[in-house]
Amino acid sequence: MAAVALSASGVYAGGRGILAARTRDVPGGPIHVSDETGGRAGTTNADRRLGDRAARMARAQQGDREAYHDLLAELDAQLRRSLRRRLWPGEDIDDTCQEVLLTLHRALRTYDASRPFDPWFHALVRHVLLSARRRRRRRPVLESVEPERLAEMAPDDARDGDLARVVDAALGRLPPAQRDAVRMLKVEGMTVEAAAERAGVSPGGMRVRAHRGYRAFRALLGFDE
Amino acid sequence: MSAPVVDRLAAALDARRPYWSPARRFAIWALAQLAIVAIALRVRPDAIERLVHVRIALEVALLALLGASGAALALRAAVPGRHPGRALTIAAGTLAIGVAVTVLPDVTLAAVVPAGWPCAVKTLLLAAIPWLVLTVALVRGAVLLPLVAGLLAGIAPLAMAAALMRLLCGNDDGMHLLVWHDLPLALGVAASVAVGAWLFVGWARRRV
Repeated sequence: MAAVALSASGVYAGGRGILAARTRDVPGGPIHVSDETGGRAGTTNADRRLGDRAARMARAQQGDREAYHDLLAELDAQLRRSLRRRLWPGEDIDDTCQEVLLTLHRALRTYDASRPFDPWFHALVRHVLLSARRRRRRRPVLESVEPERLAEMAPDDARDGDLARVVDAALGRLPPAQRDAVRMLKVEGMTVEAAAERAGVSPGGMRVRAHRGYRAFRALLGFDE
Repeated sequence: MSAPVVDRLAAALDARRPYWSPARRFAIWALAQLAIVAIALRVRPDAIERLVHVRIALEVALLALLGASGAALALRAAVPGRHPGRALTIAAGTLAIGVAVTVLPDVTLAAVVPAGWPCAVKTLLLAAIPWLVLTVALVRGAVLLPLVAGLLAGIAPLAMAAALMRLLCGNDDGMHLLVWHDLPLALGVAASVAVGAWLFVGWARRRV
């Protein structure tokens, strides 16, 4: 059986700008998220396992949490292996995997157990990657700023050692959603649930925002140099 | 690791009725569409006689084909991995252009635009229920291309309505057809795209 592969030709090469489910024409090679046992001897096992995924998805749709847990854990591990060297700078493998799993959960009922699992799953992975990249393009680019430069950009009294002002200036340069997340969790000391409630997002979404906010914040302060 | 996420998602799982297949939903849509055609032709049985004109029959057939293929593609757009690929979208686009070229009325600019607004209203009314059926189906699915889905969900019922109106309306004046039949179709499709962009992404924001 030919390995079903998710290629990222345009995205990674900066070419066509789309992800295509192909196994060739891929600078840097395809992202394999299907099971790979390698060689002809393993093909039967791979087939069986792919069929098993469809069966586990069907059981998950009936409310079988154990089957669903196993499937998610397996997909998570494979995604991590596949995406590790394929993500763009600034993209986080934890965020991406988490977003894929959340998207899979939301779209769970649209899976048809009589059809192969991989095309359905690959479409979701492509969607998550493209959506994230589209969002990044729309947002203002965060520049990594040297601490000295940041102090220059901050009000005068910041140069006199007013760290709070420097931090505040850096916070002000974060995208609004991330800034609010960092403020609520780290400045106001709110719980994730309470912050999520206030922002009108899920606790998972709030964690993602905060995580991205921390990373951007560190970059702004020059800690990631 | 996403172990906490995996644990949380597994704990949040509840039994869900699988999404009906696109074929099943298409059958429901086709039933709704046929019911509307049957009611319209029952009210105006003479309308069917217009099919003896070859040009009108061809226009109606092309519009009906466009409507049916649009609905089929729109419903596939609600299922990840089955959404219309580039080839299918190009085929549908080519068909739409073919329909436009064939149906485009012979407009004379000197013609006076009569007060044909009832035709526009009827076109939109005839399309309303099939559009709702498609929209509900798409909202319940997981649409990955909301603009394309909105476009197809608009084209399908409005093309069918336009086909029906071609039979129900006895006015074959080019300007009348352009202004009161084709323009509402175009505006309705544009509105459907806008609604789709807003409505069909709701599944991705659902709280887990």
